[in-house]
Amino acid sequence: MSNMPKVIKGFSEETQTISYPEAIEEASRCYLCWDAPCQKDSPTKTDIAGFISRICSRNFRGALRLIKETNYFPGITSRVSPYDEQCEEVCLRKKFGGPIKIAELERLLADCDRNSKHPYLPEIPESIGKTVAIVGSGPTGLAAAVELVLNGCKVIIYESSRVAGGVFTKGIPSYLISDAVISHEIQGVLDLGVDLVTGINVGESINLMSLKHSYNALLLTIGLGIPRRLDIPGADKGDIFTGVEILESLKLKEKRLRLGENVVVAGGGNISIDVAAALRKLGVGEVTLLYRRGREQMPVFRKRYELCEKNGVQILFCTVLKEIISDGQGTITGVVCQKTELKEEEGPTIVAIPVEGSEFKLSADTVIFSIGQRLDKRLIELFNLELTEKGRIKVDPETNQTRDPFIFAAGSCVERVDSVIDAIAKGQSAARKIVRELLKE
Amino acid sequence: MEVNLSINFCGVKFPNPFIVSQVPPIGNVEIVASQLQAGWGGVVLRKTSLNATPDKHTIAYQRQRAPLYRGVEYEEKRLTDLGWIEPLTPAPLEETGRAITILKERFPEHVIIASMIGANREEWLKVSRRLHQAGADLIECDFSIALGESPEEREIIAHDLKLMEKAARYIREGARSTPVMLKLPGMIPDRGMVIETLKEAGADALTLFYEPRGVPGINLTNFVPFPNVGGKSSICVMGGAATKPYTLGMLAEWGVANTGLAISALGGAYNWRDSVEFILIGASVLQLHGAVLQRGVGLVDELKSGVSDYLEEKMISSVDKLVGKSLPFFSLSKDLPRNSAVVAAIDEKLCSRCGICYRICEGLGYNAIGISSQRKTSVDKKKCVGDGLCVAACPVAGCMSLRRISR
Repeated sequence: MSNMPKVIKGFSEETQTISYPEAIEEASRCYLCWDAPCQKDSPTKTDIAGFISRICSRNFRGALRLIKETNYFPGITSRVSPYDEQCEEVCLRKKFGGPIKIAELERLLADCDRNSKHPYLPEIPESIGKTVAIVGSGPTGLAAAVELVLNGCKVIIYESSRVAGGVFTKGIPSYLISDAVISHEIQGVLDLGVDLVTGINVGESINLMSLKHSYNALLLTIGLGIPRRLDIPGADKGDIFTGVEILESLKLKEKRLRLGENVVVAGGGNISIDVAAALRKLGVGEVTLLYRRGREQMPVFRKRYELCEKNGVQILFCTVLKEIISDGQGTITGVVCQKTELKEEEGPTIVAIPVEGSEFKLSADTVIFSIGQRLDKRLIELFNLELTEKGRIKVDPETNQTRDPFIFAAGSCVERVDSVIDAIAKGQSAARKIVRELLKE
Repeated sequence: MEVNLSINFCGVKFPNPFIVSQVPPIGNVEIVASQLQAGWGGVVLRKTSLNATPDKHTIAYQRQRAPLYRGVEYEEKRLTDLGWIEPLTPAPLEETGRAITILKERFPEHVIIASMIGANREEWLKVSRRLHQAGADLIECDFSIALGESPEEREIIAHDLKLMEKAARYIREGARSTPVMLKLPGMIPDRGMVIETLKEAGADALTLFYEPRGVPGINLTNFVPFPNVGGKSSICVMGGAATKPYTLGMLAEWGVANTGLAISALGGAYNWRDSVEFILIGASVLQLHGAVLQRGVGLVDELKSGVSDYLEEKMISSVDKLVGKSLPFFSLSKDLPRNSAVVAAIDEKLCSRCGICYRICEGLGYNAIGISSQRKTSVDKKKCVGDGLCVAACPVAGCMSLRRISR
């Protein structure tokens, strides 16, 4: 029964929120440190000790307000961002009975706000008479929009796909976060008076001239749009997908996937392990993940990796995909892999060098490439922007301006972004820089 | 080493210093029996009075279904203290007399303390005589209340020294050979005079309690203070763990003035450490109420084992050697020997790097604690004044201490 379309019912969220009594007890464990290290390690510089002490005194609204001032998406970030590797990692209570469960406290507050009759809405300051257009409605774009509105700008967001949210709506499996949380927090942005136009390709439908005419600045937060594919023999036919495609179709349920029972995932990033775990959860018989380096080099979140292991994904380290074998009709029958050897090079990078003669065969009927994404160059060429040698948009680190001072850029289209909360922080910082530049004029 | 927990309290031998105090509205012989069975050294029975009718009040209170108690909570710590509207529901004298006889038969080794109230000569005399006849080991008369319709309207005997003396004499007369214990609110003035007068009048012991009147809290939604009794509230009697420091202070003041009355302390003791502290500050026996309600009658095992393990470790053979041991250390604040110098010290192995000591010292303006970029704190011995606020604030037990230095 292989290669039958799998009907995707969607997952239901598996996170459990702690109760209020538990939260108060947990919050009261906090030392409320001087110059709290958790706040320093939080990408958005959220006043964590502040909101925890408000939980202690049962000022839950105040606690949420404090979080939302620096992170407008606590429901999402507390579910999908690796708090255990950021603020909880540096918690000074770690040695004394374990770190404070910051993510769970934040999630409780966010959920309470979502279910309340009057969700939090910040006060919008007086307009400074500037309008900013944002291209791309991912975490960076949305966070920038919030920050701009709170600094008195008018904001319009252009999104090329039909739904707003970018990685929020497309890139996170639903067992980690339910759609209700995402749509609530995106709606929260629109409630601030941000205009959203979906299904529009900026540059093509609206040209740069008219953008310059209507807006004071343009912020590109387009992310990395195009999934990379391996250029190896056999990679041109058969059931070959990309990780992004799989995650997207898991979220947008109308797509049908033709997945086999024996899937090989190439790549070792967060998307790869999410895809692998999600496929196992869907009931795919065997999922094998290939990563060219070792576990220590794997740039993934600890908890997500554990989830992947727990779901029975077979992970082969120091292995690369070399060839995809298919029969005459274009059906994949197997893959050829090759072991690698790790070598330390100058700097922090560890290079994996394929070992000659270590090839081995794996049976497979579906292959998924999940080896990262690259920038969609269309817009770059249209706007005539400069690129860095790593293939991202080149900006002035001081101002986030591109070669064209009208155009700003931020997020993963500019630099490496590790997590959603990181992307939010980048968006906020870019927004502040835009306001600063606009006020200079 | 065999540790002796028994204590001689004005001639009455207690197997251990822990007494359960019964508080109205409900109390029956079986509950008291189960407490003695569990190993409590003694019990204080419900207050009895001459004219009490068979549980009319109790029934009225039960039918009312109105809150009497309200816990005080501080952040996550629930029931740090307890406030209650005291119902005046004395038990009928005959019922109490019968209960004493039954209990005494079943538990000859334990101490049964009969508690009484009275307002005039007849009541004081008759009640104490009946309790003596029934076989009570001790008779306690509550001078903190007198009969009246509600606590606010009652005349408190303890506020009138002459009245107290008169009452004490009549009770002494009625109680015959049974030792008499008088229950006083700890905050009344002229303690030396009170002790002298009562001793003269024939009292053997005092029960001291610190039960300030208080409001356990206010409902922030509808502004009604707790406990809400049909939309109204009343100022409560407070007791519980949070009153411990105040009870200790009160006991110290009485202890310093004391010249030979045995002291029983009521309120504020929740564990064996508290109990030892109460004993060190002059109480020979302790009456517990809130802690027993909260932890159950089995609490006594924990108290006994805690105290006897402590005595064993300290190589002290019996608990009565501890009574009042801390009183000689009290001195007027102006007479404190201020020439011995201490400074704060930090145990680096325990330090959690939270920086709270730094924040506190900076806030006080001494700036004697420095913090490095690795959050490592250090004490500047030249600047440190040794006031110890950092030691109190440090969240890790035992991490900070005050060390003596030579001047």
